[in-house]
Amino acid sequence: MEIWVLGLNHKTTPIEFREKLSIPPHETPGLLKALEERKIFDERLVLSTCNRTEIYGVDKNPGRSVRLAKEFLCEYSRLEPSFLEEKLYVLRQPDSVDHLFSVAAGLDSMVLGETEIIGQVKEAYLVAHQNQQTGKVLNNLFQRSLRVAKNVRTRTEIGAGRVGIASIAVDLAEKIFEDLKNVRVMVMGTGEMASQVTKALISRGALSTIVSSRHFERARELAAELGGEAAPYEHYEEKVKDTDILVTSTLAPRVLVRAEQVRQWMKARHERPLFLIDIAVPRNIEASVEKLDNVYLYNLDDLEAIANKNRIARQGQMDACSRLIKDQRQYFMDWLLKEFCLR
Amino acid sequence: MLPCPFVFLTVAAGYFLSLVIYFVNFESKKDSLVMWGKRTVASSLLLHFAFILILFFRAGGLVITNLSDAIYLGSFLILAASFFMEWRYKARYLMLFSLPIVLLFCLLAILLSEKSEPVALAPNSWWLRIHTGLILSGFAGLIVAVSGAVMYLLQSAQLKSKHLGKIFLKLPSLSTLDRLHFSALSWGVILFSLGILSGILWAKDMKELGEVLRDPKVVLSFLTCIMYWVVLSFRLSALRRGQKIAVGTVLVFALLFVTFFAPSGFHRGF
Repeated sequence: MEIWVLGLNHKTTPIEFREKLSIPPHETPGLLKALEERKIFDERLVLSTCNRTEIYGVDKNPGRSVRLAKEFLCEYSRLEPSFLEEKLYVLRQPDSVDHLFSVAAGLDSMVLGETEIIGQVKEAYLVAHQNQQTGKVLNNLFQRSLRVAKNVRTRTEIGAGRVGIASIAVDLAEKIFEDLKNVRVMVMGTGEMASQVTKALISRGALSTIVSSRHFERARELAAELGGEAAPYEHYEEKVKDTDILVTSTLAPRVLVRAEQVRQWMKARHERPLFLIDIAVPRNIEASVEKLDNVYLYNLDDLEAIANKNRIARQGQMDACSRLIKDQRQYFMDWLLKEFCLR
Repeated sequence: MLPCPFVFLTVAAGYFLSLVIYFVNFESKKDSLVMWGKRTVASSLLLHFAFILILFFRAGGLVITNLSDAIYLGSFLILAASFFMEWRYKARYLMLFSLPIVLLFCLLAILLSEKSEPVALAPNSWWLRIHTGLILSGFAGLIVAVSGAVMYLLQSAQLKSKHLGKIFLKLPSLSTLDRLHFSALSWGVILFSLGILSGILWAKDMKELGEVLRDPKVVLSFLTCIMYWVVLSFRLSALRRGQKIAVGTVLVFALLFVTFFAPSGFHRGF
């Protein structure tokens, strides 16, 4: 009885080929049935996310199943067999067990230590289980992988510190205002990054957003998308008094917000803290603004520097994570040996 | 001499242990020791309260006859208020800032108990109990306020520096610290002012107002109180907020500390 995994991920295959093997959730049950009908593995599970597509299988005669699974993937993706052969990784136990534990813990993800993968692994397992595609081995393996993921997160610092610009901005805002429910956001400019940051703030409960741009139509579109209101650029200062977070991301080639202006805003705001996020290049907010009391200014480089520091810190946790995974793999292999070989 | 020196030293040791646990927890990557820190503080506070009760029953009432007695009661009030505020505002690590101040007071209580001066005031007077009770409660509030202000300044400096470290991760948000600081400062200033007022009424009752007003400790107390009212009124009128108010609280606290240990005439023995 052996556990195998074959698949491809963001490390082995570029997106234009990965998307051909991407399996939408509604197609997964049918695909599992097709694998069952072709007698590919005794137990089987499909994990498909935006970064990976993998088939986990258990078989007494794995050679045949692996060959058939490769053929099946070629058929599904319509990729050349030689190309797929080159990109596909095929791992047998214990490496397949190690691999799953690393995937579930977010160690194999594009963003190291991300947590979304835990839900995706859980979902893939539930779909396979509900369609009677898993047995004793995969049930135990996947349930254990979820526990391993939890252990890795609680016993190491792999999840500490955000690595995305938008989530770092949210963390900073929460350290200034605590609860974002009563916080008002204004966004100047309609760039993609500004929109992402603002959406992240709104997802934490920030109040209706005021979108100001020289291109009023675009401002109106973004405001509708964010559930806020649009204000012509010429009148944005009238609204600043009630704004707690100002995100700037315009293409203007010069500084739009000067220290003297912010000083006046602070008086009107009765010195309530103001968080300025300048993600425009060239910068939209004068650098000397950060010297003002109760004003916290972060530009794109500041946010990137924090993200990099956190990425390095997460990378530094890899050894500790690997040790935990190795221990858990040993426990699992002992169980497998006891269960299927010593009877 | 210290009444029940063994109990008092045990309480002080408990506070010191709590400080160590809080510090280790602050320095560690995980928050696994936070409950142990809280439990140790709570146990030490209970023991301290028991110690105050022993003194109460032994003397047939709450008798505060010298600076050591004032410190015993004051340090209990400071930590009880800090413990409450830490829970009320979910302001983690407030105790980390209050505990060193209290330990310093405990040390002074031990040192001063060896050379306490004879008391100039009637120990069983109700005026004395009201006056010292209010002053010590106000003092406790102001110490909590200064702890909150220091935390605010540290968090603010961390956010300004853009190098986010332990302080950023472990200390509460500026908003929480501002509310905590403002609340503690308001209660502290009001109670301290009422304490001074009760002292004046008491002195007037004893027809010794003139002598009291010449006491350096009283003069410094007036000055401290006025400065605290200035800080508070700036915050209330929203002319100043955040960093400047926090700096003001810390600076006036230095004066308060001097007041507490200033040489005294009328307050001889305190």
